Amino acid sequence: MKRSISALAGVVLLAVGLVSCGGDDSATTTNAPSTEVVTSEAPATDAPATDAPAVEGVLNVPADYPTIQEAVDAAVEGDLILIAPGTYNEAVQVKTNNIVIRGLERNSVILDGQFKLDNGIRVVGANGVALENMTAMNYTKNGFFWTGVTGYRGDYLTAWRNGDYGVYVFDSIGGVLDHSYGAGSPDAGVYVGECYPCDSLINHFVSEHNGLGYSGTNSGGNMVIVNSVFRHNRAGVVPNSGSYELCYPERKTTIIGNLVYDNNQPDTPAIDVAILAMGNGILSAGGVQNIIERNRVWNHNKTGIGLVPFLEEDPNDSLPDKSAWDTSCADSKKLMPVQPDGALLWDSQDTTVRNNVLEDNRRADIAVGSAGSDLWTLGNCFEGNTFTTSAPLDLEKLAPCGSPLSKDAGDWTAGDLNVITWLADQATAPPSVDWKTAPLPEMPVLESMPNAATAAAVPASATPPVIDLDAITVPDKID
Amino acid sequence: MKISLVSSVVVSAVLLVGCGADAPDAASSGAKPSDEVEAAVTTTIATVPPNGESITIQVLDNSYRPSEYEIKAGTEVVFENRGRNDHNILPESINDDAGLTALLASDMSPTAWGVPSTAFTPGDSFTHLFNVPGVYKFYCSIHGAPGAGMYGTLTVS
Repeated sequence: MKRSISALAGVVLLAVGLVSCGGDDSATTTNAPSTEVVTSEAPATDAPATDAPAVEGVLNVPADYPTIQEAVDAAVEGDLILIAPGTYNEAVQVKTNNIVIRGLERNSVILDGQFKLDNGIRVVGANGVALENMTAMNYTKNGFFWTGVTGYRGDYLTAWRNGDYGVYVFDSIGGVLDHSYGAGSPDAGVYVGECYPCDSLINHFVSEHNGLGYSGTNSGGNMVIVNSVFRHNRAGVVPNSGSYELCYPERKTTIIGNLVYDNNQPDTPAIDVAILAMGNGILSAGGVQNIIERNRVWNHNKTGIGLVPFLEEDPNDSLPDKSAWDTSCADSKKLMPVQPDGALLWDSQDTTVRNNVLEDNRRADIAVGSAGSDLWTLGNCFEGNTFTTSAPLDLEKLAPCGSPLSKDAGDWTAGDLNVITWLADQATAPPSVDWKTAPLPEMPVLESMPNAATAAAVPASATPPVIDLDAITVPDKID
Repeated sequence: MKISLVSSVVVSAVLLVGCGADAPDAASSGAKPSDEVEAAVTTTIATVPPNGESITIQVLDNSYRPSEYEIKAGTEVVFENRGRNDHNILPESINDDAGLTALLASDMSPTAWGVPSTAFTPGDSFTHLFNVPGVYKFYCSIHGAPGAGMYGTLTVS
């Protein structure tokens, strides 16, 4: 749609009404929650929610405040909002720093957008907000959403059947997503994007039946994804670069100790990129300097671990020079774009794929491809992986870690990956399924936060916990 | 502030105009705030004719680039949705698409502006002539809030 408004001088206007400022409050969908709260019969929790005694700094919902939003609006830094089991038809917006919002029981504290409200809980510019132990479902956008914050934490969250992302973190640094779950979103079950350094950790996350299990556009820098499960999505773990968001390229993401399997799911909702990436386990699409180690990856129609280019047909800036890769996100935002003449090809570069265990990935267990660049110039290396097939053939001999790659190392064209055919594959891939009705397994009853009623409120730190990455081993299969 | 005041817009409204911007050059009839909802007032907005200049602001996922910009009154600003998601451009006084739609239906002064997400999908553009000096703060209600997340400021001198 193209709309042009040119206000003409000398026009005399007559406007009568009360609506000229602030809009129609009664029609607000973004900021105003509904007040309907359906309190269910409480499951076993460690405190009777509605009889909770008044404790300074603890705001009980619905005992003290009938809605979560009212409690959030009343909270001050350091407060804990405790939510009793029940269904809350709210779109909660948080603008207060350093508060903790916690459900008393993960599976029965349910925020339900009823396919009308946009986000379960959205944290906008409020630092240090922790969301704990609850479920958000049926939102037109996201289950849980942080944007523009320093310090965030999501623990024991369930995001179920939401219209964009399950757990969505954008332009935010210093965070942790732990013991959480995302299913049924057309984009990613969990996303962290536009941050460098992100200083963020995803740990013990299960993402399934989404377009993408994980997506991270232009994120990286102490961006760590460990001990998690990505299964039954169109594609599993997809860090990616593109100039449709700021802070490109995606770089320095560490992916260790995850189970990635069966990401060929044909009946999920899916954005176009998810359909393009379908059938791949871990797919770096234009990412650079990533580390992919000690993951177990199996049963994919295309690649188990693939390093491929991302073609951006209508870019907004030129490719950043390698010398600019380490520019912080904050600094890169100050740069003005230089419009390129044509499409951009974001090659995956300088990534290490080491000590992963792969099997039954039909095109190749490990693969690297481009659409014009010489593969030996890209700096990707492979070593110590347990695998059967690679593209090109003998990939670990062609591209060993620890030494410069050479055109003369062998035949780089034998069995090479033709990613151009993937573009054509899109046309015949199963189309996206409406997220509102896409088939999902029965919602699992998931582990709840221990001692939710009594645990101290700890706002999110901007420094994620340090994980002993060296101690992580290849996980055993489950299912 | 020196401006070239060659024309004016006269607005008769129950409420004061200028919802979309802090427009310092809007001259009201002098009605007290308490009177504003009780009687129609006549407001004259000083406007500047188009100066032939045009700038483009890229609307990405989820940022305006540039997010802050200074222009001369009479400059046309083209907002291009260059991202992969829907966005909107709302004055800070507006809560959402519905609020903007109501504003635009009731107030056709040049300081009432913005575009709802339904009309600003990827590939869309939206053009507005900023011919009234002021500070125009705006945001995307899908991906931000006033002053946080996806937001921007145009200073029109």
